[in-house]
Amino acid sequence: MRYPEMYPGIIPAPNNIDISLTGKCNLKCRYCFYNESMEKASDLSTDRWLAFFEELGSIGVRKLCLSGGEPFIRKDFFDLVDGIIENKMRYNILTNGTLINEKTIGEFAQGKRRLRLDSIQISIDGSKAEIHDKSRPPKSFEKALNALKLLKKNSFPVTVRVTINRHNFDDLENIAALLIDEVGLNGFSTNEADYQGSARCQGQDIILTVEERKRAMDSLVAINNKYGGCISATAGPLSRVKMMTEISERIARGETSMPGRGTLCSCGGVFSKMAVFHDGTFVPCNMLPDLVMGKIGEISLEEAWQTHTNINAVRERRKIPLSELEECRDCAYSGFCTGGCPGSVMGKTGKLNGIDPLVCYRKYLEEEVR
Amino acid sequence: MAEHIKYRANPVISFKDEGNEGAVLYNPDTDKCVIINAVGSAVWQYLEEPRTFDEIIFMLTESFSGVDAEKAQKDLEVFIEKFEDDFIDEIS
Repeated sequence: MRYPEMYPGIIPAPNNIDISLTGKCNLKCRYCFYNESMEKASDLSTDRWLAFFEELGSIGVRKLCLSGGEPFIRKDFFDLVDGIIENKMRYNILTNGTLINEKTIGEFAQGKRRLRLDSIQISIDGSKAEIHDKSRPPKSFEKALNALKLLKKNSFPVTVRVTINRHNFDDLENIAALLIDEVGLNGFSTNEADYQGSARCQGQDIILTVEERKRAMDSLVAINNKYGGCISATAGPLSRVKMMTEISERIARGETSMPGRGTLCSCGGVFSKMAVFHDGTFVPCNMLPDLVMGKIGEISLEEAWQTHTNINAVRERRKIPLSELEECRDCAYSGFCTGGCPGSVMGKTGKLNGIDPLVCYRKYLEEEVR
Repeated sequence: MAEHIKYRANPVISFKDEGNEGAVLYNPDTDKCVIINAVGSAVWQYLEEPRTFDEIIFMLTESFSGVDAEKAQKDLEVFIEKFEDDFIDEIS
């Protein structure tokens, strides 16, 4: 079905959806995007999720990213996975890894659970317990590392995300050695603790200072060179240093702008995906929890996707030239910038149509000079 | 094409009808996705039941004006060859 005020040019339904299956977690990581107020809402029941997966299958959604909270905390986790498979979709999982054991591996062997699994991502934030567990309860490191090794041993498509924060920014070389040399991963991805959810409450206790970020950037470049470029990032220090280096190189060649830049364009996620919280709340992205687009049972996902003003507001950002923003008006580099992730922008500034200071090239130059 | 062979839409495929623009087929087992035009979409929906090559040709010439049997046969051979591995089952 197409709705009368469908956003121009948008595909009729998202290809991918991020689903937080539960607000509950056995850990309380200090930078989690889920904050305490979100956790108070009740999880949807098994039947409600299964009916929703049927709705998603019928409109051609292809992939679900299952997270939480901690997805494996749900007793019905594999019933939900089977519902995804039944409705002709694939899935991936974001987990802290601590609830994965031999029994879990056995559960994946049933039916098409393994065939349809794209990846399972475990958070590892340190090369040893003293560092990893600074952001979560004791013994978490041991359990997460055991899960990682178990999944690797059984040839699962396992990946690792390292969230860089004040406790691990000078441990990155050891983390790379652990994950690549010892565990045998081909690489890992990185980002950094942002002003979202719990991290917003922890403030500077967890979020990098300017100097720490600079050291993390230098360190990641050196490690990435050492390991042949196998560390990836779509946000955080590594992503930042790559972007800033590219801009510097272009300026040195006499360029004044880059294709696709110069407006608030960001990642483009709202043109192919959206997110659903554990109580059935629709949002454009997990990083934009305040932009509610309705709820399962109140509005169809298809209608929310095609017409809701909150997701359309994020889509409209790409039409706003940076030169129109007060903070960018006189900047000679605005043709190279994108304004950054709208989730980060809202987390830091409280407004959607602003810029994230971390992606600002002018600010980066000021830091370099300092 | 052997007369006894029937073709059927692979039941695992997700079919997203886009009206006059055609349809999107997605195989979640192989993670392959293709876009087909309106004629391809009609063939796909006809293959919900197993059909022989000749039955499909007949459907096409009856349903679409200006399509003669010779052109339909050429187009259908290409269609089946392209989609047989991931999207269409061959039933002997």
